[in-house]
Amino acid sequence: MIRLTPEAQVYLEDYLADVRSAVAGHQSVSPIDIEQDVREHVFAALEGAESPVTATQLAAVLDRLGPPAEWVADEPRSIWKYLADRLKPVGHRAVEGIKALPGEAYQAGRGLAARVRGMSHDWRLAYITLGLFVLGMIFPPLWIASYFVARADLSSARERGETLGARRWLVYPPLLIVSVVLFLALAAWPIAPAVRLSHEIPRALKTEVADIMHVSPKAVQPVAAVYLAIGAVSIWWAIASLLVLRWPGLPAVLFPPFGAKIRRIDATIVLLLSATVFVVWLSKVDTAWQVAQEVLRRL
Amino acid sequence: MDEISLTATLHNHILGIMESDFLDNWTTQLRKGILELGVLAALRGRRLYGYDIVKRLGNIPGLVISEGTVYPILSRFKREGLVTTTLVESNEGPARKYYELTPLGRRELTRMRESWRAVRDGIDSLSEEST
Repeated sequence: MIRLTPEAQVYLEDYLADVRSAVAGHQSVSPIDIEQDVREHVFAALEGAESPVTATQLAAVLDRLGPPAEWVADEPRSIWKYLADRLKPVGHRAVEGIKALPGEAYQAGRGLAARVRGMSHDWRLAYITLGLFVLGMIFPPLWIASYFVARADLSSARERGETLGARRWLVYPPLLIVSVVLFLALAAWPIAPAVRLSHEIPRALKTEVADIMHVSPKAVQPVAAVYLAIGAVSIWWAIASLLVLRWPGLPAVLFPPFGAKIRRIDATIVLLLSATVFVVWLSKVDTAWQVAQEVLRRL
Repeated sequence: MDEISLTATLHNHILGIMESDFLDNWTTQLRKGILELGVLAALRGRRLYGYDIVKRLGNIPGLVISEGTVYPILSRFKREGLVTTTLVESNEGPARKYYELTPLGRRELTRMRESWRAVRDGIDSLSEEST
C-alpha cells in the first residue's frame, strides 16, 4: 500500500478540494466519480515509487493531471454553484482574519477552522451556511451569502440523488427566510399600487363618492383600497397560477426546497379561487366605474 | 531601427500572436471532440481503468495535454449510459474503477468513427484537388 508523507497528504487533499470545486455544479458530470478517478489515478501513477511518497514526487503526477479548473470549462454549470465559487474569496479572507486575531481568540478560531476542515465536504458546506446565517444577524448582507451557499448545498445533494438528511437543520433557515420574504413580496405586491390608487380620490369629493359607494365619507378611502387590492390580487394570483400550470418547476426554482411541494392541483385550486373572487369583484365594478367617472369629471 | 521597420516588426509580431492564438483555439476545439472519440475507441473490446485509458491516449501525440481532462469525459459518458463501471480491489491504493462500453456506447463509437472518417476523407480529397 502506497503511503504519502504528511506534507504530500495535505497537498493531495488540497488538489482534490480543487477538483471538487472545479467540477461541482456541472450537471453533466458526477463530482464524486471524478474525485474517485483522480485519487485512483494518483495512486496508480505512484505505483512502484518509494514509500512514503514525497510532495515533490506527488507534484509531478498532479502537474501532468493539470489544473482542474480547465477540465470542464465549457460545460453548463448551476448558477448557485457559480455564485458559491465566487464567494470563496470571502471565506479565504475570513481565514486570513482569523489568523490575524491575537492569542486565545486565534487559537479558538484555528481550532474551529481545523474542525470545519476535517468535516466531510457536505457537512462543511452546511456549517458554513449556518455560520453565515448567524453572522448575518450582525451583518445582514451575509444572509444573502448564506442563501447562496445553502442553494449550492441543495444542488450538490440533488446531483447525487441524495436528501439533505440531518443537514437540513443547518441549511433550511436561510432558505426558509428568503423563501417566505420572496413569497410574501410576490403574492402581495399588487396591494401597494392598489392602496396608492385609493389615495387619488380627492378629499373634496369624498361626500359624493361616499353616496355612490353607500358608505360613510370616512370609510371611502379604506373601502376603495380594499376593493382595488382584492381586484388586483385576484387577477395577479390567477396569472401566477397559470404560470405555474404552464411551468410546474417554477415554484421549486423560486422557493427551494419548499416550492417543490407545490403541484399542478394546488395551482388549479388557487386559479379557481382567484377567478371566483375576481368574478365577485367584477359584480361591483359598476360602482367603481361611477366613482372613477365622478373623480375624472371633477378633476 | 527606422520608423518603417519598427512598424513592420510590430505588425509581424501582432500577426504572429493572432495566428498563434487562432491555432491554439482551433487545436483545443479539435482535440476536445477527438478526445471523446479516443476515450470510446480505447475502450473498444476491452475493460480498462481510468489511469490505463489516460496512458493509452497519452501515447497519441498532442491529444492529451492535461491528463485530468479525460475524467470528466468518462463521468459524462457514464451518465449518458455509454460506459459502465466495475470496482475491483487493489493492493496498491484505492479500489480500481474499470470502464467498459455499453451497447449504446458501442453504437455511438461506430457512428462517431464513421463521421470522423467522412470528415477526414473529405478534407483529404479537398487537399488532393488543390495539389
